[in-house]
Amino acid sequence: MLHVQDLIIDYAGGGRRARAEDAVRAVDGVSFDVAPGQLFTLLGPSGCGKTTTLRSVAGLESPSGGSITIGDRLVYSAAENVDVPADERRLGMVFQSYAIWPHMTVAKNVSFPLELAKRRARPSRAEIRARVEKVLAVTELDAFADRPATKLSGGQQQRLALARALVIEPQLLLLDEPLSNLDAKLRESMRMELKRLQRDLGLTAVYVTHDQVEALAMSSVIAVMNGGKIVQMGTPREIYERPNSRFVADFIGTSNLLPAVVAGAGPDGTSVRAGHAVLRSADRVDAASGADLLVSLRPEDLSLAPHDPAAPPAGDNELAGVVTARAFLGEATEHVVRVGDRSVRCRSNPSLSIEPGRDVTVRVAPEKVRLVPLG
Amino acid sequence: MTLATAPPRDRAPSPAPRRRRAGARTFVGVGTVAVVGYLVLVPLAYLVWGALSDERGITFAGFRRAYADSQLGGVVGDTALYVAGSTLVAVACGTLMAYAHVRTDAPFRRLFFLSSIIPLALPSVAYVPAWIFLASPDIGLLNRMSDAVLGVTPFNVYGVGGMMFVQGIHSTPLVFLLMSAAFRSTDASLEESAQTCGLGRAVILRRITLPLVRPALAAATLIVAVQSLESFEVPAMLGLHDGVYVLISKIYFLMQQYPIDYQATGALSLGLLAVATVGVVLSRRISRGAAQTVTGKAFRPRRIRLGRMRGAVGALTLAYFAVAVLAPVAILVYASLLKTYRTPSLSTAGFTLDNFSAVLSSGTTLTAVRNSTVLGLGAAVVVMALSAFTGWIVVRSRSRAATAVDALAFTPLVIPGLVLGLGLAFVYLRSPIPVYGTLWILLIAYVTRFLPYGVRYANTAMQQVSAELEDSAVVFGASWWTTMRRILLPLARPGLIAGGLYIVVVSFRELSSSILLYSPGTEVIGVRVFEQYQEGSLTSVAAMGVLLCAFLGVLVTALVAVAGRLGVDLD
Ligand SMILES: Nc1ncnc2c1ncn2[C@@H]1O[C@H](COP(=O)(O)OP(=O)(O)OP(=O)(O)O)[C@@H](O)[C@H]1O
Ligand SMILES: [Mg+2]
Repeated sequence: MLHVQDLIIDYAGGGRRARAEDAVRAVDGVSFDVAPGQLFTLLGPSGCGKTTTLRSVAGLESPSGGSITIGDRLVYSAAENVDVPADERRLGMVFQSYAIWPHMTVAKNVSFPLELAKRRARPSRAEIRARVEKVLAVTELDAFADRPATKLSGGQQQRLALARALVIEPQLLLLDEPLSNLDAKLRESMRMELKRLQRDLGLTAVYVTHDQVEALAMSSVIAVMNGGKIVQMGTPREIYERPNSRFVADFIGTSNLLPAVVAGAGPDGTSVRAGHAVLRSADRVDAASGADLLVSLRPEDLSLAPHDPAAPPAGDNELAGVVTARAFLGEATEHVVRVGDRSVRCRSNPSLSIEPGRDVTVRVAPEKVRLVPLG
Repeated sequence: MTLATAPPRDRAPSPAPRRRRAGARTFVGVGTVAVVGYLVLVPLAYLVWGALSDERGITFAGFRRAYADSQLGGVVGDTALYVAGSTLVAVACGTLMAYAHVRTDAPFRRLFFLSSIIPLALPSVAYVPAWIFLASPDIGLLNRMSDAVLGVTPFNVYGVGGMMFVQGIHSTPLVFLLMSAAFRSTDASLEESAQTCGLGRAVILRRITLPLVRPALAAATLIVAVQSLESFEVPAMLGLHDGVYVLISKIYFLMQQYPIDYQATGALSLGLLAVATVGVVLSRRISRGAAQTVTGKAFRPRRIRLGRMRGAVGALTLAYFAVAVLAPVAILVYASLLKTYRTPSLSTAGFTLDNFSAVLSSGTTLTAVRNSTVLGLGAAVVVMALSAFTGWIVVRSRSRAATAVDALAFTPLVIPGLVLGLGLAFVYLRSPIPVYGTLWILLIAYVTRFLPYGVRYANTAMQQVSAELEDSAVVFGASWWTTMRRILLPLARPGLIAGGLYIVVVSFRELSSSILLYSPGTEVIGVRVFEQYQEGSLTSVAAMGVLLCAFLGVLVTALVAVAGRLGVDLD
């Protein structure tokens, strides 16, 4: 549906006299594919080039290299000197600021994109009215059709922006942080709402966000971006469970990252030495013994028990430590445990509560010990 | 990785691939740049050429004649004195008022606003004669009063002193507006923290507040100095009477000689232009630096309690308002009601509306009114149309030309009206385009002169419209022109209307370039008032001044209403 290949986008440098060497490379060789019906997410920290990538798919930025194909239509190609203007790409887009036209009513905002169609393709007046009514009903805005668009709440404006993007029944829907202006509660319910609409209407969408929870909850495929490049691409589960770099592990959810050294490799996994402990992992790496890497331990995968002096000394996949802090979070208790010179966060059932200062043992199953390459 | 397979690469793309088309956008962009460039650069080029060329080619004879003139030393001296004096008056009054208004609990807050806005409706061609009625040595009311009480006549509006004062008072509102903005945007908490350290109020003012606003103060000083240097009315009405010449009136004087020494006049104009350019460029540089001292947070500065001083400050405010606004307007109205001027008394004997009926039945005056109306509306429409596209190029297009176009559109600010008139006369006396002696040449002059104001309004209006509003229209299929027409222009409309109103106002006040470009039949109001002044019929001047002020008052009220909703600064 969408095929982006080796996309490169440069911004002319700031400053009053633009020089070539000041140019900022905002997007640096990005390639990805989106299959029909997928919700594809570009995830990354602020300034990593997500918006720029999305805007160039829409035709609002001029790339300096690569190609973009939407459906079977080549819309941009540096090599073939093709650049279809934005107003001929016919995509739906939801902007970060909603970009609702303040001088029009709610209904007018939705019908305007339909009225813009070329004369031959323009729907009749009656059809426009019917489609506007339908899409306003889907987004539950039918009660506000004749209101000035500025007199809507934040959530309603967000739905209006979506209604406007949906009314043209686009092949591809582009969403730039559509939920970031909403408060936490509304964001959660709109997230579900958006996902439901996307699935029910069978929309193909590219979704931009810097919120990893949002990305994990909604996406079919996530591409994690950093510094203008895609660093990892995969399903939410793959990204969450097998981060391929320190950056991704850090960025996706809270995770304990410990430096470790490969101690030995076998057919059923790898054993590594982290501090004084030896950890067996189900992951296989093709690194030689003695190679440095990182161990990623999710807080919810760690089980915590008070240290029993009678028990034998710590075995494999056991870390001895001291609780330094404890926080009750409602659905869980979080303990911070000092292991060697590192702090490890453990998330357990709220019924477990261990006073700070107590010696504890932290256990983790081999298949939960994730090995992450350095870098 | 669960990714879709890429679509087949070796297929013919269905619609024919295209480069971005060169459509309306390119056409309008290039057209705007061409028109603005033509308007601004051609008169300047002709000015240089006119100053440097004669029948035999390039010559510096004009420069030699202009700058070797034995009187020039005196003219430059008087100019410096006049500019320095009027700037000092304006900066002192304006800054004090702004400080009192923004940072203290001075009374009569509404009055401050009025005294900053009313002068917009008091054009120099009416304001200067009002001061002649008030302070001329022979008929001046102030002199008559002090003569009756003390037996002295100390006031003289003619000469450098009077020019300084009148020009200074007339520029005060501009300083007030600029400095109010500066005081408002500097962080009062710095002063408050100094106060908690136990520093006295005077020390804080001198050591904290003034250094904070120093860049704004320097910029305002330069702007007002350039304005004094360029303004024509005050030197022409108050200086020529006693043979006091400053640069601008010297240029005017040279243009009245026969045969006109175009080279020397051009040479002198270029000198004036150079000085004004230095001033404007410096002030822009300074105020660009000044913008960084504000922290960008919105704060309500706590007002300093004046305590017992409050009464004194209130009295000073009233006095300023009386001197700067009330007295000139009152004397103008009074004089307009008399057939021949006499010193005011309590008697209303001899009051008559003859002046008004004479004004309104004079064919030339009515022609002038019609011309001014046509020019004002025409200039407003043309300037705002040009400004809308210029504003789009500057604010939106991300084109590399944006900075150049911006600078070009602001260039007329440094060209004194009289010099622009001279440049245009050079152009259209030699050009085959037959506009010399018609209203068209005046329209060209007005459009060029007022372009910077229009562009400022348009830029402000467009900056307030988020670019994503246009992007979204484009994504949903709107062409550039549709986006302009349906989204950007409607959203920027209040600002564009305010700009248009402002241009109508300043068009009706225009004298300095019209005076060189009009011919019989194309007089404008400013020219007509100036002619009456030269003929010595001061009471007719008063009547026309009253009518003009009343008319401008209505326009300015509308402008304030529109601009107030918009948050545009009226400077
Ligand atoms: N108009 C511009 N001119 C120059 N540089 C720009 C421009 N717009 C963006 N950039 C730069 O390009 C890079 C990518 O910007 P982009 O807006 O794509 O980031 P983003 O990933 O969307 O971030 P955010 O999450 O903050 O929206 C940034 O480094 C930014 O500074
Ligand atoms: Mg962004």
